[in-house]
Amino acid sequence: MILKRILSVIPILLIVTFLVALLSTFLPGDLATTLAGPDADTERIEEVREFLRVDRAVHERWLDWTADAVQGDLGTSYFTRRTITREIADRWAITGSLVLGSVLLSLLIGVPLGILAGRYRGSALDRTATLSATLGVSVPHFVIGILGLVIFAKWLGWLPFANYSPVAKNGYAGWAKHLAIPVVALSGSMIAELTRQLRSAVSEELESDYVRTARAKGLRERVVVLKHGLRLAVLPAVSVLSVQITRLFGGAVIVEYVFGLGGLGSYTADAVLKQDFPVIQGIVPLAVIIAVSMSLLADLAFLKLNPRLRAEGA
Amino acid sequence: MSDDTAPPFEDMETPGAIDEDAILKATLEEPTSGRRWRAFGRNKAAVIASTFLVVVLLVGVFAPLVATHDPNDATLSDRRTGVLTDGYLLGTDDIGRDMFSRVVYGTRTSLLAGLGTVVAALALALPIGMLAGYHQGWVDNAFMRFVDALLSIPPLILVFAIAGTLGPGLFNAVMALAIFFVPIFVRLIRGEVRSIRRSQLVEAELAVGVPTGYIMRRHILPVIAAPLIVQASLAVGTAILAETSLSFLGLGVMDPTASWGRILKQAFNDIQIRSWPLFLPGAAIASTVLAINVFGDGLRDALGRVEG
Repeated sequence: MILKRILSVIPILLIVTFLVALLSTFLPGDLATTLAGPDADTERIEEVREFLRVDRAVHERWLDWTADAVQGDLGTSYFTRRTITREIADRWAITGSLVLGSVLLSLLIGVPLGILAGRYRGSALDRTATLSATLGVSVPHFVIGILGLVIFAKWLGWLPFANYSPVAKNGYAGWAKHLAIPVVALSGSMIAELTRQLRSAVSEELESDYVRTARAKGLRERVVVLKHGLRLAVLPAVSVLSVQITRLFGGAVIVEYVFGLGGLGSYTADAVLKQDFPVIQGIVPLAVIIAVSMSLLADLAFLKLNPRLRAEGA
Repeated sequence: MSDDTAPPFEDMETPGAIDEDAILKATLEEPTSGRRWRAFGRNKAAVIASTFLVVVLLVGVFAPLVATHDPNDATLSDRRTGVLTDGYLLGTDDIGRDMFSRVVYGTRTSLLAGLGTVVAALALALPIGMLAGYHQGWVDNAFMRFVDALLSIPPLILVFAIAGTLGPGLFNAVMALAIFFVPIFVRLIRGEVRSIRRSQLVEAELAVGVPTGYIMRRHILPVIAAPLIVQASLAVGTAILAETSLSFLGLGVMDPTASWGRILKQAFNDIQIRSWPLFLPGAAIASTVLAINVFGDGLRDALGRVEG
């Protein structure tokens, strides 16, 4: 079943890469001229056209690109003339730290908040949590980030303004300080979604028959909530996590841009702003692979956590 | 895995089993609408949110009347003035344009982006979704392959890729966002249409020879309207958020045109000099999207199929 899932990614990737190749037909007409610069002669413009492969049919470009990609060549940036695989190798650690940090922070805050809100439904805590969660999905990442910068970097001066600090340069403390605000900015929507989903899952589970039985047996409330109520509430948390991690990579584009972190997000933002199409063409399938892997991991976690599915799925 | 198992807990309503009563209720009797309005009216937060949205809408439509200055009129001698100085309600930006008027005109841009996106997406998704849901088989299969592929691209990445290829501008931003919403709407519409298509009511109509177009208009559209309205209203909020992100990056609305994302970006460039101008566009974005989400959630609760 797992192998089948992995193989099912192939047609999706083929369609996505074809759609992206199709997108290139919508590149503004004189792009080659624009990219070549104002002083370029016809020869230079021709060279750019050749580089962008704009004169060839969509399916030819798609086949070329796919053939290269299979051999590990995702393309070359028009502006920097550096390969995309090289850039990914240099930059993944930054985006990885950012996303991992956000996931950990979200779990740390979202899970207890969701459980408590679900357990004490209708209480002041629940109402505060629900309102904050709605606020969390309504405020864009960069607004939270800017607010964080103003308060903690400018007014209080506790944290540095921007840029990424590798562990090798300023140690773990410097690394963490530089990432703190971006991580919080990126986590907002994920904390909110986790809280919302866990709240409704927990309060639903606590109404179920087996929880009533557990209570009737005279188990202590803490045991009922933590051992029984949480069991199935973990599942929605897992699926929120897999969907949200995927979204974090989109959010990372703007957060890295705001904070000048220089990871894959900054790379994407640069490419998009300069209409560096070869880079866009390489980034999109990469994002799809990340997204699909996340949902595969979530499905595996589901099988592990829910015996009912295991019996059916085998 | 069959393709009608939607991923769990995605922020769309999974098409559940539909009961025949609900279809009849939606198509034949009207009294439910009164009850729905009253249910919505009891939701205090939703009422406050709707009132706020009406104000936002009015500000957007009547921007020239609300604004105190021409939003693009740069008075270089009045750069970066403070609140309530020299007749500038909320001061001026880095090149001497009235901040208040720019935020007011930005409302217009955001509303245009939000509503334009959803209208464009629905115009594409409604025929595709109804066709795919109604005529099952290869048509459905072909459309759903594309929908699945598009949905597998992380949301913002898709929008950035399209907008980055097309280049900056409000129209391109709206197009990019509309393409992002089409698969989401198609999936919702298709699911709803499929379940109604299988109902006894529609089966019976088909058996006695009621024309397809009539069934679609009279029985299918009214039933899918409720979940679609909820989804569409929440989508307006998402579209506004995404447009501000695009404009902030420099991909959406181009300079002199006022937009919340651009205003925020210009204020952000000034962050070392002064920080308060960041709060105005930031608050405008957050409060509008918050109001739309609360309003959408209220609609969902009021239009929900489960009624006491």
